[in-house]
Amino acid sequence: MNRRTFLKGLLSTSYFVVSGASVLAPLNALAKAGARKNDDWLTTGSHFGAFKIKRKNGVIDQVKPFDSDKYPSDMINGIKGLVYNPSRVRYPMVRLDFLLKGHKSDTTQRGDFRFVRVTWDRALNLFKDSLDEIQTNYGPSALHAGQTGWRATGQLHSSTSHMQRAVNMHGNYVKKIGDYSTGAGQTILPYILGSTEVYAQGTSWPLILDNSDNIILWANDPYKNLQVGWNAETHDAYEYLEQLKEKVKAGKIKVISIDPVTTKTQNYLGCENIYVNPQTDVPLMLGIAHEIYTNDWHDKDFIKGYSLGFDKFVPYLMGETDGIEKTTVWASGITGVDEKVIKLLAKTLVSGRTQMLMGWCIQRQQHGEQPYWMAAVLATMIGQIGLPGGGISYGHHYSSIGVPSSGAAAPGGFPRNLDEGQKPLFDNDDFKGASKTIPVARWVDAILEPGKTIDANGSKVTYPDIKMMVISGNNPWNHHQDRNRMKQAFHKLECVVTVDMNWTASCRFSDIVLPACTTLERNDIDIYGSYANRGLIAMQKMVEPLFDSLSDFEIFTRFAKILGREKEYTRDMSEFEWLKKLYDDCKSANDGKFKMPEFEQF
Amino acid sequence: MKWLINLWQTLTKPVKYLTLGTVSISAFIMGIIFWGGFNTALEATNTEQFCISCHSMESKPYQELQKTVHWKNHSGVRATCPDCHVPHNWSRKIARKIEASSDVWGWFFETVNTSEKFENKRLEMATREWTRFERDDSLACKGCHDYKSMDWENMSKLAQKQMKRAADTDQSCVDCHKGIAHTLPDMGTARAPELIAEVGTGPSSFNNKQTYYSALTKPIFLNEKTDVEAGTLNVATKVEVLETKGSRIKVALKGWRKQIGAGRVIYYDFGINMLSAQLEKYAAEEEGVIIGFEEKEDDMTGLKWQRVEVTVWTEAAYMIDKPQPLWDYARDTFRTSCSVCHSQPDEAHFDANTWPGMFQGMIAFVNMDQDTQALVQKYLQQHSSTFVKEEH
Repeated sequence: MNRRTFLKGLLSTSYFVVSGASVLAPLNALAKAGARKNDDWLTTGSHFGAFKIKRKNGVIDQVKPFDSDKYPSDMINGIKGLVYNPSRVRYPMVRLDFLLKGHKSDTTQRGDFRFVRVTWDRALNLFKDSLDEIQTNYGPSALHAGQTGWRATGQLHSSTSHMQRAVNMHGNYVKKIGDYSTGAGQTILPYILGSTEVYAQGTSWPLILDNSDNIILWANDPYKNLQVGWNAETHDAYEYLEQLKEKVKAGKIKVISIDPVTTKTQNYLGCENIYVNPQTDVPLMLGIAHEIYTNDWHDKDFIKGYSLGFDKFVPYLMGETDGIEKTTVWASGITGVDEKVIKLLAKTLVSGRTQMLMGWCIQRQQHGEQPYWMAAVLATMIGQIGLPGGGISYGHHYSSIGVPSSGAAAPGGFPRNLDEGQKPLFDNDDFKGASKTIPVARWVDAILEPGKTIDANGSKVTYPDIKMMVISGNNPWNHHQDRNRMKQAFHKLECVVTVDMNWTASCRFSDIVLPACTTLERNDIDIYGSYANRGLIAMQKMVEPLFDSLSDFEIFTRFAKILGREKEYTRDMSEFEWLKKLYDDCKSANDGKFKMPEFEQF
Repeated sequence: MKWLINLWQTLTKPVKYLTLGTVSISAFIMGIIFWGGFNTALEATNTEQFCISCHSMESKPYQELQKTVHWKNHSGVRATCPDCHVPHNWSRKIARKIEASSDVWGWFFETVNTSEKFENKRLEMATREWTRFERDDSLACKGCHDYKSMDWENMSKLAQKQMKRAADTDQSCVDCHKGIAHTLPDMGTARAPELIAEVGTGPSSFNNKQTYYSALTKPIFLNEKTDVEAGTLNVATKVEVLETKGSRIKVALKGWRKQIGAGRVIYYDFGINMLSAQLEKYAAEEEGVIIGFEEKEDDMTGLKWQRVEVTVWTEAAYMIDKPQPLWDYARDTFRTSCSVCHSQPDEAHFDANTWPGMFQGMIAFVNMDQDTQALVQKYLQQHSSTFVKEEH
C-alpha cells in the first residue's frame, strides 16, 4: 500500500486530509452536519487514537475506531468509562476546614476527603481570594502554577494553557522546566548530540526497514507505547512494525530486545531478547565497547571526524583511570548477561548497518543521563550516525516518530501567555532571590526546603518558598515518587487548587476542586498525528457537560470575569470564534501546500 | 541646405502680412490640435488594449491578473493595467511615458519574448514597479483603497494590527502586498513572508563603514558578478558594509572559527556556537576571504578557535540597519509557538550553546519556516544567560 492510497483511505466525516484531491469526499457528508442526528456516528480524537461514537437518547452508546485507524488501541474500549466514571468530579468542591478557616486551616486534614459542594461562583471567588492573599502576603515566589503535565487533547481547551494564562492575569508565579517523561535525556543530550533527541522527528521507518541489518531495542517497547500520542494518535507506526515483523521472519533484519522484561514488542516481532539486570545497562554497554575497542572494530575515521573526547573515554574503558578494566567478564558479572552473549552482541553491532532504538525508561533512573550518554558513545564507535538505517534514536516509541511527516502546518492553540501589553493585576516580579523556574521534579523539595540552593544543568537554582499550588489537567501525585514525603510537603501548603475531571489523588489533597468536562463534552480541534501531521481532526461535542462540570475555556473565562478581565482573556471571542480562528490560521499557513475546506464545511 | 537657410530666414523675420490677432488665434488653434493629438495619443497608450497589444504583456502579466481579485470580485470593480502601472501624478505620468519608450526597445530586441526570458527578468521588472509604487506614495493603490476609508472593525485582529501600523506610517502598500496582481517573482528568498512584512527588505542604498544586519539567511559570493554561491550568511548577522556595486554589497564580518577542517564555519564569538556564516570549502581557502588572527583553546571541548575577519559579497536586499525588529519578531514567534504544549522557558534559562540543542529537539512540533527557525534560535542564543545575566 503506498502513501497516497493510505491518505485516501483516511477520508471521513469532519476530517480533512492533507492531500490535494482529498477534500472532495467529506463535503457531501458534511453538508448535513448541521442536521446532525442523534444516532449519527460522530468522530473525535484522543491521545489513544481517533474514534467514532454513536449515541442513544443523548447518551454515548457505542464506540468504534476511526475508519482509517488500522491498528486501533484497546484503550478506546474505555472511552465510555472515561465519561460515565463514578469518580468524576461532579461539582465545585471545597475542603471543609478550608471553607471554615481559609489559609489558617488544619492542613493535616488533607487527604481525609471531607469536601463541601459549593457553587461555581463561590469556588472561583475563593480561588481568587486565595491568590490575593498569597500575592499580598508573600509575592509571586509563593505561588507555583507551573506544575503542568499532559492534558486531554484539543488545541483550544488545552487545560494548562487556560490555567496559566488566567492565573497570570492575576499575578506572576513559579514555573517548572523539563518533564518527568524525559527529564534526564532532554537535559544531557543537547551536550552530547546537539539536540534533545527525545522529541525530535527520527529517522523514517521506510529508511530503517530498507537499510538496517540490525535493530537494537534497548529498554524499548514501541508496540506498547505507540498506542498513545501527544495529539490525536494515528497509529501509523504499527504498519511499519508489521513490515518489520515480516522482515524478522524472513531473516532480513535481526532485532534484539535488551530488557529485563519480555516486552510486547518482543512477543509481537518474535525477536531475540537479552535479559539484563535492571539498571545495569551502562556496564553492559561498556562491556560491548571494550569488546569492540580491543578487537579494533570501531570506526576510527568517524570518531576523528565527527566526535570529541574519545581519547578521554578510552583510558576509562581500559581501566587506566580507575583501575577497573571494563571487560566482558566484568560486565557479565554485573549485568547477568553471559559473557559470550556480550561478545556476540558486540560483533553483531559492528556487522552491517545497525540502528539503536532507545526507550525512555532507563533515563528515569538515578544517574539516568549515563545510559543515554554511553549509548551515544557506542553509536559513535559503530560510526553509522547519519547513515540511513544506522545510528541511534531516542524516540521511535513515541507518537509515531519515524512516520514520514506530511509537512502540513498544525493548528495553534489558545494562548498560554498574556498578550503583548497585558500586565498581571499583581504586577510584582520580585521572587525574593529565589528562582522563578525550578526543575520539574524539585517542587516537593522546594516546599520542604525553601531557600536551599542546588546545581541544575550548569547553573544554580534556589528553591522558592511555595505556599500555594494551582494544578490543572495534571496529577502530580501520580507523577512523583515518595508519597509520604509528598504528603508532608502538602501539609505545608496553605492552599491547593486543582482542576480535573476525576477525583485524582491530587484532587483529594486539594482545598478547592473544580470539575472540568471531558473532551467528549466540548468542541475542539486537533492535529491528527503529532509528527506525521496527517490532517486536522474535529473533536465534536458528543454530550453536554455532565453534572456541574465546565470546559476549561468556560472555567477560566468565568475566573477572568471575576478579575474584571473577561474580554482581555478571551480576546472578546467565543469558543466558536476561537475554533474558527485556529482553523483559519492553520488554513492560511497551509495555503499553497495543502487545500483545506472552509471552516463551515469542516 | 539652401532651403533650410531660407526657412530659417523666413522664421526669424517679423510677420509682415498677418495681424497679431491672426497669429495668436492660429497658434491657439494649432495648440488645441496638437494638445488634443498628444492627449489622444496619451490616452490611446493608456488603455489596456494598447498594453496587451504586445505578446509578452498579453501572455504573462495579463493572464496572471485574470486569476486575481483585481480582475474579478463580488463588487464588479476592476483594475486595468494603467490603473496601477501609470503614475496618477501628471509630471510623473509624463516622465513615465518617456521612460516607457525603453519598452519599445525591449520589444524590438525581444528582451522578454519567451517565457523563459520573461521569468529571468521578472524580478528586475517587478522590483522596478515596486520602487515606483513606493516613490509615488502608493497613489496607484490609493486611487481605490484609502487608509482613511478602511473599516477596521470589519478586519481580523491581525489585519487590524498590521493595517493600523501601516496607516500610521503611511507605509507603501506593496511592502506587504507584493504579488497581489501578478505572480510573485522567485526572489530566491520568497521566504519567511511574515518576517519580511515585519522587518522590511532594507534600505535601497548603504553607507560605507556602517553596520547592517541580515534579515534572512542569504547566499554570499566572492565578487560582485559571479552567480556561484560561496556560502551563506546566517540570519541576523552583523556586518559592516564596505562598498556597493550594482545590486551587491561587499561586507566585512567579524567572528571566530574552530580550527578544524577548512575552518569554514564562522561563529559569533569565541567558544559560542552561534552561526554567523558558513563558507564553501573552496571559498574558505581562497586567499583574502578569511583573515585569521590570534588562537585560543576552549577548555570545554579542547578545540582551538581562531579570531577571524571575513570579507565577502552579498545581495543588497534583505539587509537592515537595526537588529531590534528581528528580535521583536523572533520574540513574538517564540512566545506564541513554543507555548502551545508547555510554558516556554525564559530566554535566559539556557546559555547560548545549550539553546540550539533544546530548540532543534522540539522543532518538529511547530510551524516555522527555515529562516524563522534560524532567527528564533539566534534570538534565544543572543538573549540567553550567556549575554543576559539575570535571576532565573
